[in-house]
Amino acid sequence: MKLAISILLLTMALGLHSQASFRGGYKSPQDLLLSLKEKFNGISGSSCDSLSDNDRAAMGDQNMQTGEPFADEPGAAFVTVWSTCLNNYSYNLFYSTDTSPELLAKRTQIVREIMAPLLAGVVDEQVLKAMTTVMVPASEAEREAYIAHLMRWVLGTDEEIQAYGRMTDPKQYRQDLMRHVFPPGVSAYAMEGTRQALLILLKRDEFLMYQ
Amino acid sequence: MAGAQTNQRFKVLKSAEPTGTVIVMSFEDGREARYLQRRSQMRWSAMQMDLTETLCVSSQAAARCELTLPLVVADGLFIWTKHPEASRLGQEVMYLPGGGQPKQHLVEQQGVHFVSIEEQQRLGSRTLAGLKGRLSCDKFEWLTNVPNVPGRVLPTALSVASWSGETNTSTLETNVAENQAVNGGFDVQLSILNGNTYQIDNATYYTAFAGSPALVSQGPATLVTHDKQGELCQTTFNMSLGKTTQIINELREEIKNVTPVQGPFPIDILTRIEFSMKGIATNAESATFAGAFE
Amino acid sequence: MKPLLMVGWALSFGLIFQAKAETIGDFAKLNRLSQVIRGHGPTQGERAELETALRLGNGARFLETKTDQYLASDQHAFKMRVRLEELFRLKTAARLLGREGGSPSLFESEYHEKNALTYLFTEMGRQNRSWDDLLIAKDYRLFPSERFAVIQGIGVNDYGFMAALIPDLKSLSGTYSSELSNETHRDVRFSGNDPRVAGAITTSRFMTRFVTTGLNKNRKRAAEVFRVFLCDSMSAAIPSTEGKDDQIFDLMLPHDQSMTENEIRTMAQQSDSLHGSRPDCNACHFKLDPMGRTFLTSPFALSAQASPGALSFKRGQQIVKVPVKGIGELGAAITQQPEYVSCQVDHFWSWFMGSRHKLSDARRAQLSAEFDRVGRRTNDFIKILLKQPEFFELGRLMSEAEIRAQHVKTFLKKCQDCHKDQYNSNSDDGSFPDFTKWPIGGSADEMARWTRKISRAMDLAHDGESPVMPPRTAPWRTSLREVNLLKSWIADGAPDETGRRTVAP
Repeated sequence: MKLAISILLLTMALGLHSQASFRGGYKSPQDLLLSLKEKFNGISGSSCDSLSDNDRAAMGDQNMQTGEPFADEPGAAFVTVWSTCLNNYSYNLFYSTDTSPELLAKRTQIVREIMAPLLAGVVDEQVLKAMTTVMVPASEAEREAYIAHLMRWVLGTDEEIQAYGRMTDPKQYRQDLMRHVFPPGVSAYAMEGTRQALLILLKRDEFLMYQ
Repeated sequence: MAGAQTNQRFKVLKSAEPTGTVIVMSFEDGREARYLQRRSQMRWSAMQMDLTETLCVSSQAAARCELTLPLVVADGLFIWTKHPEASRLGQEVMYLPGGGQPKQHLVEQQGVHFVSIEEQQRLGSRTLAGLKGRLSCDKFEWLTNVPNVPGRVLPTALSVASWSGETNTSTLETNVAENQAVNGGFDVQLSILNGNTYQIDNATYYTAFAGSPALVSQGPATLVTHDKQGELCQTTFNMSLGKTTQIINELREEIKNVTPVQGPFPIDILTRIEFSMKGIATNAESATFAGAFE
Repeated sequence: MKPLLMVGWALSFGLIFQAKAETIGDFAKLNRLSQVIRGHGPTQGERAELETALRLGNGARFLETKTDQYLASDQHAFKMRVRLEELFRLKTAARLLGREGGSPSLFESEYHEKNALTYLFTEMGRQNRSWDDLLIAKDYRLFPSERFAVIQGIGVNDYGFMAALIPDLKSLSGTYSSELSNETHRDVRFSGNDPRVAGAITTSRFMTRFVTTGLNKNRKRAAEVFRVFLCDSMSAAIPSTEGKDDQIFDLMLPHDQSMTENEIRTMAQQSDSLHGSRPDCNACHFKLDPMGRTFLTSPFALSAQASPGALSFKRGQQIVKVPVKGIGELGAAITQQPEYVSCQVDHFWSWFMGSRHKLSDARRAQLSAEFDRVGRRTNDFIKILLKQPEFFELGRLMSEAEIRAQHVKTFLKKCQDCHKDQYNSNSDDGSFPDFTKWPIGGSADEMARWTRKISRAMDLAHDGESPVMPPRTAPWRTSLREVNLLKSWIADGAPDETGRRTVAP
């Protein structure tokens, strides 16, 4: 299963060479990091906040000598850099043990946004605790609505997603994603499935590319 | 106490005495150290300049020139004069960067000092014994537009609009090493010394770096002057520092046998202290370093 | 699981669907505006505001207001700066907007953040400056960046760079002053007709990136100005013909530094017959050399003495030559050329429309007029572009034929950069055809002839083992991937974007 997902994710990054290149549509390295920073309110701190020379090459920065990107399209190096940043942010959001008030406040605000449908009525002080104990809704309809909420949080409305021309049937995709992160008939805590869904969505072209 | 405290702030104080200056390093915790220096003899070093291309004269005016600059090798050390541990008095102040790195001398060892236009800029008449560099050539047509014929009369004063020297180095922008003009001077003023030699008096602007004086370069030098029609033109020379390197090596050997003296020192290029561990040139600045001073 | 995989695989290998030029909805418009102007999508709050605005029938006005807000944002200013760094082939920002301080390993980025050119680039978007300021601005914010001087060891910062014009600028860098500056920055302004100063191209960062030597004579700087401001890319290459490569190579790049006087004289005599009379060399040098002369007195820092030169280039069959007193006048002269305007419009189009939409000559002319109408102000022109119908068109996936054609044209553009200025003795007007306009030479027969020549020159039959193109002196080499691309493309009949063969079978 994990292997299948990894292949899927890798292929989505690599195989898209047929449609887009660093020159043709992927965000600049700076915008890629800014998009994450904006989404997660900078909770990763200094990690993924600046570009090393190796990272910028993998993320499609230009070769100054030629004016062309170092690589034609995103490859394994891109996936590595991007996955590392996503893991940093998602870890800090869901698992950080740092008790600094500033970070706690930011995490609370973001978790409340992300898991809003599941945290109705929970006061701010309890959000991070509730996040670890709240269960996925039992009904498929509610689960699908929750996934739709996550998609909207990461990628925007269906209209925005379809404007990229890559996802023809958002509803079908929602259902597929839902069944993947919240297998049918399985009662589970919502947090880990939410994290998995976010990691998948943050690797889509609709997040990585300009329209 | 020695070596225990890091991030120690200190000041380099110079007190002017009738015949020169005394240099003292003064720490906030009351420790003090006094500067001792040793100098080699002054030698004139001639750097060969072979003309490779000139756009200043229509006929090819190959020339062989020499840039001659006074050169001194000097270094120094700070000796503790006030220290809570009596055993440290009279000992050299060493810098401990930390992190397992070895101790460092404070001052660049056997530093090479050319007397060049930047010294004129900063010190004027106090430049080392009033010495100035020279430019000698077997043919000066490229510079003066005066043909190299018997009885020629060279202009008594000239200005070189730009004198630039190249080196092969990388910059922060590309991190790729390439030949590039990095140092030199603008409006370099020359005055005639004799039939084949101009004295390099001054420049209105110079660019130089630690270990790379304004007019000295390992790569080619390019001089921008005026042709007969008054148009700007350039002449390029290959530089050869072989003889200079030999002189430097000899002087470095020489000062090994020189006992450092504690001054007062004449206020010249050699009283500028360069702290080698950070490469910062500072004259009368306070500074803080991450390591400790022992 | 299976359906998800299938969806993923399908996406990965590219769904092809044809769509007519539909316009996207309001949420997608907001998304696109935010992405293109700020670099990230709209916030949830902004989406909620749009929802409310649509309910009240104020959707269009909301989007206009948001456009103005986005253009006034720090993110837009930062994004324009990064675009300009890319355009000028500088190192793009390492630190994200708003990130202060940094680990010691990021010291170099302090220089990239705090220098006159970066500041000017940022101000283009922040202050809605005239785009011409990149060439004619006389005001700067200079930074001492002393730590740069310490770590870099060589190279001048802003203060050292301009100290010849402003003598009380003290700095450890370059001027090797014994005094540290205690200023954080200094704002300076030169007079409007100062011939020595010209916006971006008289900054330390520009001249440090594009260095000069006695041999180069500022041609590298001139080439960069041509490329950025007049969209004229020149490659420093000489074709491998007549067996005289080594002599020309030695002339260009003498590698034996102990030449005797006789050797110099002999070389110079030969140089006139080889170098001076070669139309191939003149084609670029007649442009580069006069412009390079304006930088003559400023090899490593900016000189107080301006150096005269000229802006010289070809317009059709005519030579345009504008004498100038210095770099300052050069900048002004460039901004007055229609080629400059159309070139800058091209840059803006590619930034805001992407590669989806090609700009026709007619549209370019129309947008050039708009560029002038708004006083060439950065944000004002961007707003005009954002109102073009193409901006909000529904995206579509490119076909395989389009993708291949795009890759081939990207490769052939590199050849074009050199050959466009080369003299072709076999043609009536002495010029080479444009390799990126198909069929090359205007007919299927000519296309066949040229693809055969390309194939032979690149030795495609032997997988590029012994090519004569690109020549040994060119700054780039063909990769195996590019060899295979060209080989398969030619073998398939050199198809265009529609998949139609341009060479008869």
